Formats: sequence, C-alpha cells, structure tokens
Amino acid sequence: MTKLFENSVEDTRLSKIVYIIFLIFSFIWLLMIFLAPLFISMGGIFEQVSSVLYLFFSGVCHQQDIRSFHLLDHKLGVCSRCCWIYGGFFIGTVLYPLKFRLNNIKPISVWFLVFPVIALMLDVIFDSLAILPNTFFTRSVTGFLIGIVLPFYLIPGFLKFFYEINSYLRNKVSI
Amino acid sequence: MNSPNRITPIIFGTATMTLISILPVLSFINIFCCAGIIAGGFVGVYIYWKQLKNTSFVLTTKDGGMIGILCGILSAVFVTGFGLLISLFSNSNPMLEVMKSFDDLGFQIPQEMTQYLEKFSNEFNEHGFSPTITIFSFISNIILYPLFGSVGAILGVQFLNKKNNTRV
Repeated sequence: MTKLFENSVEDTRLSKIVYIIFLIFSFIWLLMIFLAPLFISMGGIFEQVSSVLYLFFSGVCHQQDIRSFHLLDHKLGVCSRCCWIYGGFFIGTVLYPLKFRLNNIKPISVWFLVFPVIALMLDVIFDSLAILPNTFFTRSVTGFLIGIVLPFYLIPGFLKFFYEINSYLRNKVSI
Repeated sequence: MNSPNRITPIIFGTATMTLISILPVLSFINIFCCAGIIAGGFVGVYIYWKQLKNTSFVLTTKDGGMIGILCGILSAVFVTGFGLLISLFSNSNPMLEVMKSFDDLGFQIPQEMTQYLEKFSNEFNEHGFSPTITIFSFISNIILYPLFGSVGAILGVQFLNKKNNTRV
C-alpha cells in the first residue's frame, strides 16, 4: 500500500480533511436527492426550494418519472440508477477506511471499475435495442456497483491532488 | 527545461465537454451522471499525457486535476453563453413549447409550476431570453462542470499513470 511521502502530522491531517470532505459532500448530495420530493410535499417556501433542487439535478439526470423511485408520491431528485450510483458512492466512502488507511494514494485495480462500467453499458444497450428490457433491479445493481467502487479511485486521486497542491504552495511560500 | 504548456489540453478538454453538452444527440451522454463532462476532463489529461511522453516530466495529479477544473470552468461559461445566444437569436419562446407539449401529452401541470412557466415565458417575451433561467443554469453549470471535470481528470491520471507503471 502506497502512503504519502512523509507521513508527517500535516499529511495525516490533510488526508483526514480530504476524507471528511468526501464523506460530508457525498452525504449532502444524497440528502438533496431525498429532500426534493420531501420538500415538494411540504408546500410553501419548501416547494420553491424543491423546484431548485429538481432543476439542479436535471443537468445530471433525465429524471424520468417511470424510471425513478418515489417518496411521498413524488419522484426522487434523480432516476433509480443515479440514485444507487450516489448511494453506492456514499456507502463506498463510508467503507473506505475499513479497507485502506486514509493516507493511501494508490487506487485499486482498474478492472474493478471496468467490469461495472461494462455491465451498465450492456444494461443500457440491451434495453435500447429492445433485446432485454432493463428493470429497477438491473438499473439499481449496475448503478450501485459503479458507485461503490468510485471512492476507491477518487479518494486516493483527490488526496494526491490536494497533497501536491499543498506542497506546491508550501514551496512557493518558502521561496 | 519548461514543462509543456497546458493550453492545448485545456482547449481539447473544453471542446469535448462543450460539444457533448450542446450537440443534440451527443448531449444525451450527460444524462448518465454527466458522463460527457467526465469524458472531457479525461480527454484534457490524455492530451497532456501525450505531450509529456517524450519529455522528462511526469503526469502529476495536481496538473491533471487543474486541467479538469479549468476545462470545467471554461465549458460552463461556453455552454451557458451558447444557450443564451441561441435564445436571443432564435426569437422563440421555449416555455410556450414546454406548456404545449405538456398539454399534448395530457399532463396536468401543478398551479405553482404553471406560474413559474408563465413568469419565464414573460421574461422570454420581454428580453428575448430568461435572465432567471440563464443565471440559474450558469450557477448550476459552474458547480457541476468543474466538479465532474475534475473527477474525469483525476480518474484519467490514475489510469494513465498505472499504464505508465505497467509499461516500465
């Protein structure tokens, strides 16, 4: 397992900060998906916030009613597949420290991402060609698989990114 | 020796993100969690990696991430600007078309939504574009594009560096 170059107190602190940012960010993103239908059923100012949330997520997802999970008779902010991608991402982020140290900068094998991507593409292609129509189950599973593996690439990557930025800025200041 | 400039990778990455977002059929790619934007970040890093191939420099995550973020920021500006230009020059009111298509499909539009659509429709009639929609889409784009652009770029750095390591 590759660790950050010095494993100093500052590096450990940075890796914790990056992980906590990931955790909070993925939780807020997931929460917003569920708040959209919740707010619309509350009415008033909440309904306006809900429209902003739906509009925000419309850039990320098709939000088709027929392909979405519903909460209180209103669809979630994103479709079932996206919902499980973000749900899986949050679960993957929570599970990450169980498998790796927070200062790990080496991602897992590429194949862990390639297989879920192939499964998702096949699910989409077979459905588009009317060979095998996809269901809530297939969309959820393929979405979840991609979501759960992504933190194992992105956390080490972003940690390295912030570490390099940090040392670059430190060098600039010392000069 | 100076490191290769990052303008070419940023141009390619931005062009990929922008074209995927504005072209009619290609834009469907973005409904898969902004896959087009992620692809743009990846393309930017790939071009930079190609430039570095015959030099002594290595592809760093800092450079890759920065390329992804910059491509995202530029692309957000271009996509919003392009949408604005289309609204201004097309002389049409997309809100009326939305309401008509809802009617044709037999959807019952909630009263609150009708009020919003009418508000936006009045803005289109008055200015030729909707300032509210433009501002909101710019804010939304300036968050989403750099975010997913950096995701694509960081993934790109991880894969391309792995490829380098296996070659060695």
